[in-house]
Amino acid sequence: MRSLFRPMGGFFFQCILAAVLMVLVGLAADVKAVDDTVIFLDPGHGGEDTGIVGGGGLTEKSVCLDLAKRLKQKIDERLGYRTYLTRGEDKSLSLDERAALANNHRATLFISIHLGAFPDQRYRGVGVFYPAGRFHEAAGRPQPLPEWDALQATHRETSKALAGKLHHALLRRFPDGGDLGVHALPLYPLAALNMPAVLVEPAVLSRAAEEEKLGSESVRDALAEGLFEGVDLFLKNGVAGERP
Amino acid sequence: MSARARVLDSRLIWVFLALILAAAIAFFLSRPDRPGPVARPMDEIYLPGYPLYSESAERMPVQLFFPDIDLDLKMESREIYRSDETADRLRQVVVLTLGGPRAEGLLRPFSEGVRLRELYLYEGTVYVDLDIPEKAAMQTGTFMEHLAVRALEASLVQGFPEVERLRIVRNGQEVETLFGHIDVRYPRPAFAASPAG
Repeated sequence: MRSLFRPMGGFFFQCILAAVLMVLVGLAADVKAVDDTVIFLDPGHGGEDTGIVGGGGLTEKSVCLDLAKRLKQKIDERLGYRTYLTRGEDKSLSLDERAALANNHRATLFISIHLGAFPDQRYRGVGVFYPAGRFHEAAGRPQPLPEWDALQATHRETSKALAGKLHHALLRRFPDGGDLGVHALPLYPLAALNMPAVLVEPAVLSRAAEEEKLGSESVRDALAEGLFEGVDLFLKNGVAGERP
Repeated sequence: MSARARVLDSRLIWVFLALILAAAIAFFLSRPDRPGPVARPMDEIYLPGYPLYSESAERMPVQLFFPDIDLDLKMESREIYRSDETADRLRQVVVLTLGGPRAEGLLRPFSEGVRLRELYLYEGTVYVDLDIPEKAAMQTGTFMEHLAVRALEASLVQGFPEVERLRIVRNGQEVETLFGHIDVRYPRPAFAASPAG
């Protein structure tokens, strides 16, 4: 009897072993994916550079830092990815230093958080920007390009996808908040980044009504939640870009 | 004096006053109905302040570009004085662009306080040096910075075939951005500055 079942038992245990191994490999791969994902959040301006100052005195640098800290906390707690801030306090940091930090950490994605300003009170809501293709490339008269600019160009489509997800998530959270669209612009803060990168302006600080709202912790938390949902949407759909 | 003569005198006085009033109205109406091309005092926007034109010079049309309420660039026809030097005409274009539009529904692209320090035209490249106070940077977001750069570029390209490239610098220094967002490191080819581009 034992000899009768030994081959079956062996086969059965082999199947169990294979299944367990597959689960372990899957778990390991999942853990690796989480470990490999590095998110860089960049609160715009800082230190002497206040950025935009609202009519009521609220500064862009302080709101951006607060939004970035809230977003980091949400990612830490709910997604577990390694998340860094380019600046965690009110200090000056050059745009090149911010880019170098993210490049040196081999970040998976980079989100620069700013606020909008317009010379007219009618403009409101969210605008998201990703790097435009450089005009040199279409000029027919090629010019020497700095290496880092060429690298950012390789992530353009992924940056566009990230911009789309953030825009979608923020509009979903604030359907009546105003839409300033998604645009490809020649953005210097993102030019030297070797990863998908966007600059998001979730509100317009020059608009008095929005400045008042930005003074509220609950509104800032809701904005950070919208940004979080955008990041989550983007990462769930996979990061298509390859690091050159 | 008889009563009739007094009435006549009184009428003459009224006629005289009416004539003076009519002359004043005629004088007011006969004034040029269009302001000079450079409407604002030059020293508000153009730092060197030396004359870029003679007011006796004939005027020439130029096409300036300003953001409209939909945040697209729209053309506004204006006039400058026909200076002998192309660079002086370009300086007038920059001064007018910095000063903002006349038409309603168009936005001023640069904040108050941004001035032209100097402009050079050298081998097809226009170098525009802007004086940008810190306060202006506190009022300019990413998209308005983009529109401001494009408005200036588009205004400088239209009607000036000798302009092939544009290079904007800030306060005499080569900079990466004017207000912290938009890349202005390289001379931009003129075609890239067209509103449709």
